[in-house]
Amino acid sequence: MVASPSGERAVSAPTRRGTARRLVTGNRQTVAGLCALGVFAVVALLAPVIAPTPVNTGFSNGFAAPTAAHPLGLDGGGFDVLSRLVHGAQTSLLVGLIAALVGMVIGGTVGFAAGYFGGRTDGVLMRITDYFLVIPDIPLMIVAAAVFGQSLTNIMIVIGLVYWASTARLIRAQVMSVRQRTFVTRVEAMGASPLFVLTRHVVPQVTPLLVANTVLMVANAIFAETYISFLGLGDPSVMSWGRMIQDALDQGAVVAGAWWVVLPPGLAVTLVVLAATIAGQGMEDTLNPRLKVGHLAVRRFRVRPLHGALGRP
Amino acid sequence: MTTSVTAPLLEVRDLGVDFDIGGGQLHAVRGVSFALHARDRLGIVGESGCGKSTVVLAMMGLLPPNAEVSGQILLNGVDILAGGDSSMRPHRWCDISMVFQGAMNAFNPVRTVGDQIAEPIRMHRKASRRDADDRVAELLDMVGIPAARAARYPHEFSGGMRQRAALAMALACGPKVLLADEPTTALDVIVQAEILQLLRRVSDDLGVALVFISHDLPAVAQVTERVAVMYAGRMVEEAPVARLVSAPRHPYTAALLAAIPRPRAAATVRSIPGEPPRLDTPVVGCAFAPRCPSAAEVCRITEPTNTVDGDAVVACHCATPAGLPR
Repeated sequence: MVASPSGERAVSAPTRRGTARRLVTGNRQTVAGLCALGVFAVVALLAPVIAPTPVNTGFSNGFAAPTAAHPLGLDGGGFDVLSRLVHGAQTSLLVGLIAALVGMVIGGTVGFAAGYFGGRTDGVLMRITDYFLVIPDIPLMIVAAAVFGQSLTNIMIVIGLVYWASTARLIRAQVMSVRQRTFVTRVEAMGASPLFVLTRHVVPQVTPLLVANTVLMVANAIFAETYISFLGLGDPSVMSWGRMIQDALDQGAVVAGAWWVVLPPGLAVTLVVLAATIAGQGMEDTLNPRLKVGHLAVRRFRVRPLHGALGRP
Repeated sequence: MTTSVTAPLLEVRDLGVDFDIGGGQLHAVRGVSFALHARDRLGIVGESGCGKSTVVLAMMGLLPPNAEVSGQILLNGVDILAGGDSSMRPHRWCDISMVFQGAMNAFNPVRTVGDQIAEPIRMHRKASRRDADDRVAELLDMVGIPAARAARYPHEFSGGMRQRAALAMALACGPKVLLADEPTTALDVIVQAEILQLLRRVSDDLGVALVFISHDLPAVAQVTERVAVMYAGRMVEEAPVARLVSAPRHPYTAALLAAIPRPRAAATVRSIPGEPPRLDTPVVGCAFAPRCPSAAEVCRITEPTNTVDGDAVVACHCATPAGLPR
């Protein structure tokens, strides 16, 4: 044993597995958000079991108030609202997840390449990214739906294409900062190829951030899917929350006083988006120690007692 | 002494490094030459910004793209600079390796120390995981760290152990030349002494030639046989340690020595007045002339050339004659 006068310092620097665990469980906010998303996921998976009736079984009496047989009543077309809601959860979550993954893959790849290689690569990739950042997303989605057809696959791809740009920017900045660190220079001094440096040293450092950002993006994607469907540009063959709200509007549910038709899908969207946002922001807090400092935190205002003359502990 | 008749292991000839900075050039290093045989230990001292680290980075091929390197770096007689990055690559870490300044930063915090020491072995030797692990244990043992520690993360190491591990990593592929860039900064004196001793021992045991960069002349004197003093990108004096310390010939060396605090001496520490010259404009005459107590007219007009004086080299018009203490 080498006795060193400075001794072991008990600094909890992040280890790889430690970071992953901390990311998921390190923050109550994250745990709450992920649990809520989990509940929605279970509901979506068990939709055929939970739904009282198959999704396209119509009943004659439109806007029937909730009863024991139809806990959330019937909509204007005589369909069971609860059945449509749980089937809609499938669509919303699927679109949210896939679109966020599409955005993560494109944004991550562009961000890693631009940040690591810098120079001309960075210039070209960032100009393309800027272009995608300034395209207004709703018109793009409308045009894409009109041109490529209203299928679920197209919607997922389009949402992913709209949202990758901000991810690319974020990842690029983080990669550039990691790239400056001595250990990257050291690995390069060993004669490692760029691919080796990227996969072994840069990606493990940046991945937690990418994951947190993707969870945040799920919220955006679900919201986007909802308004695309609400605008009538969704896939007409599948049920979704946006389509339920659109149907309710078309059938005049509000005028008919049928709150049970409008409220459930609206609340469901709100809750899922909220859960994903909470989880994503919680992860961000875990990853960014600066957010824990009162005067630097954007969201959590906390005044910390000052220690010592300069406020240093 | 290094008066061997064999060709040197490493020879740096007239090394120059210019950085392109928007609208001009920064002459960071000019005309640096030195030679090393196996087991030779050379210290390079100088103040911040004098080009010490730039020399080392040039030898590793780690300079940023805006740097322009001139001169030759001969390894066993072959110029490794000639073919650019591809001719440098097989030598990196296998022939010339490096201990970085600040060992904490030289390790990736999210990967184990052993894993990172094994990296160059697996990269260059195409060794299997088990062979690499055996070698890591051997290396850690050599620098005095229990082999079981290989599975630990860098933050679980103390500063001194981290520096030892960084040394083990530098020795992983059995290099012939080891470059140590301020390996003892940010360490307390006791750990610092341990690391210096270790560097000496490793260079003796393995026959590695060592280039030790520091601004700490006493630390360098403990490890190396020869010392080169750099000022404003040039080597102004290179001599055996004992001779350089007892009879410095360049006024800058003499001033540096005078600036070392001595605990029992009554004399106060003498600092050098003025500042080093700007390196973005060509230096006329001797770079040290504006701060030199013994500068003559010639010093401000022509740049002094390197004069070989026995086993020392000095670049000064009015160098103190050898053997005469100032």
